[in-house]
Amino acid sequence: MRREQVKALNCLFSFLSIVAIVACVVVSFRVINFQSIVSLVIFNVLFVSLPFQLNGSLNRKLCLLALGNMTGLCWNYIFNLFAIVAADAFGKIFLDIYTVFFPLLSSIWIVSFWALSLTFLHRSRTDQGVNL
Amino acid sequence: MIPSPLVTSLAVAIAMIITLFFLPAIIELKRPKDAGPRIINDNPTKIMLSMLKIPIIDIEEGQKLIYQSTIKNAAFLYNIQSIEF
Amino acid sequence: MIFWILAIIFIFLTGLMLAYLVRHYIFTITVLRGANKDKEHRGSEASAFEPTVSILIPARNEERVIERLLERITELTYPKDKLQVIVVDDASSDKTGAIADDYENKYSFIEVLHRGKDEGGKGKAATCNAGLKKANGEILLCFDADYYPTRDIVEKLVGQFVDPTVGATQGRVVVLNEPQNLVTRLIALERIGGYRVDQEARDKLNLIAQYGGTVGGFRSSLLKRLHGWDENILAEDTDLTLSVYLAGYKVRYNVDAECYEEAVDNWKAYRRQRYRWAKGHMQCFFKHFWSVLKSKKLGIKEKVDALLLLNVYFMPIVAFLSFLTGLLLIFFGSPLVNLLWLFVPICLYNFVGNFAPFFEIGVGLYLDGRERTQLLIPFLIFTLFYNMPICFKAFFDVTTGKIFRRNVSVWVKTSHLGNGNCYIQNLSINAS
Repeated sequence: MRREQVKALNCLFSFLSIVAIVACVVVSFRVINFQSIVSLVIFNVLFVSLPFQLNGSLNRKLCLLALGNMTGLCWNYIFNLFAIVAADAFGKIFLDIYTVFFPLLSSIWIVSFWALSLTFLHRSRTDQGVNL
Repeated sequence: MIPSPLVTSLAVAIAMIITLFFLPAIIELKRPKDAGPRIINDNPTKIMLSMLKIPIIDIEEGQKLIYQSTIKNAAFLYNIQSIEF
Repeated sequence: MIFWILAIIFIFLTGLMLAYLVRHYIFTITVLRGANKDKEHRGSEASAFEPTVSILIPARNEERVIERLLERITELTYPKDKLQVIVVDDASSDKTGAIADDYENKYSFIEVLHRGKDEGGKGKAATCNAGLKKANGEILLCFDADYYPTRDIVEKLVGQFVDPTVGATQGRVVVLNEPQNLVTRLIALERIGGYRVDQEARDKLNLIAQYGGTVGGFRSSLLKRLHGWDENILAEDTDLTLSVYLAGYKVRYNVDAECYEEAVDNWKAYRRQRYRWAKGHMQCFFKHFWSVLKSKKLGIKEKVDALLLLNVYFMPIVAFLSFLTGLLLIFFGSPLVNLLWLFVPICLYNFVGNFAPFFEIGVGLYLDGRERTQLLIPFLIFTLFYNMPICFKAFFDVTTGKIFRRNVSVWVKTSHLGNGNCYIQNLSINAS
């Protein structure tokens, strides 16, 4: 019974992580803009195709992926808000500055979070004692 | 032109977030726990094999076990010899 | 009209960068998948293969590091009766020659060739060519004076030559003085990306594995047929790599053949070294571009990889121009750029350091078991921006050199201060 409970909890956790990821992408599209979705998609593609092949439980990877999407969403929202408010205060030029610098600054969070995730997956590898 | 409090606070928030993204890197730089260099060890078993000129492929399974334990013993003896007192 | 020209330029440049992104992505996936399988015992199948080997050590003012390499050479497990070590003292003004002479007097398999001030100081290629004339081994290996190999490295490198199609071999370089400062730590990241993943993948995929100038070697007969090192090219390693492939042979990489190197430890030395590499690579591009395209000895995928290899130091320039044209298109209000523009920064991160992208370095660190070092990856953006002006200057110097027929092959030697010596001592203490 306990084993089944654990299994059910794992499935639930995976499901919630996937829901969180999808929600981030949808909210990104509805609330922010198209660029935001593309940055999340780039992050998700890079994360799923590479760290997902490493050792570690699926739940841990999904959790990291969901956290990454939430980080990206928050980051995109704050930066977008700043651009809108600054454009309102100082002129339309700030929207162009936003378009120019948005991808560069996005790459900072993508790379930083990706690197941090690999650190957590290292620990998973050590715990399991598996040789890759 | 004085920026509004909202613009200022958002700008500060962005600067803090960027710093936060670099914070783990800065901490690792200042207090390294894995600074290297990565250890590249001479593998005593392999060195012994090369010195004994014994090939390590195409060995029957039955002989393999005996062979491996012999090599381990030889490597152990070799290491004992290497210790300086 | 201007808008369409800019759009075409932007798509072309971004497409080039995406090609590199895809290339490195394929490399990373290849190595990840290969890491799950059993390691090949490369060299082990050739444990009975023991040709005569000449080890070439070009050295100019290396008094602080050469002794540890020569001492290590005496500890190699390869039979000494089949070994010939040639130290080429390239008009050193310090004690390099004297240190090498001591070892020559003690060990019969070590020889020293002293070059005078009038013939010396012309760069590594000239020094190696001088040593090549004295080499009589079937296989010729090269080690820079600041390197520190494992004791069985000769067997591992030489074992590749069992395959008659192999013309050259390359081992893995590990940074010895990694903990020293930010520069050495970032260089270590680049090396891990380049050697643990990039080279490994190129070898597995039968692409253009590169001879790196040290910790590697050649069939002596092939090298002599190729007339040794080209003294007019600063990146003599890349030049020889392509010459080997164009001659119908291949370069094999052995990730297990490891050797420590002492990396440069300040930004000025880093800049000079990268400037030399960038210029040398660009010279190789001009020398080999058409030969690679026309070669009947290279397959399509080898040609593509060779061309990507030759163009790698142009890519920071391409990245900058892509960024610039994208900027102009944004101000033109182009909808096209909005989509592609987002790929530009990721591609920018593709060209950090030694042109290993962040995910390649990350996977390399993972495979090496370097958990915390992952956290330094974001710092690599700074080496990207540092490399951009270096590549621009190199490009300017090489093209003006070609136009005005000026000699741009002036070798600026990297100084080795022996900062890695303490780590060797620590490793010895830890091992005992």
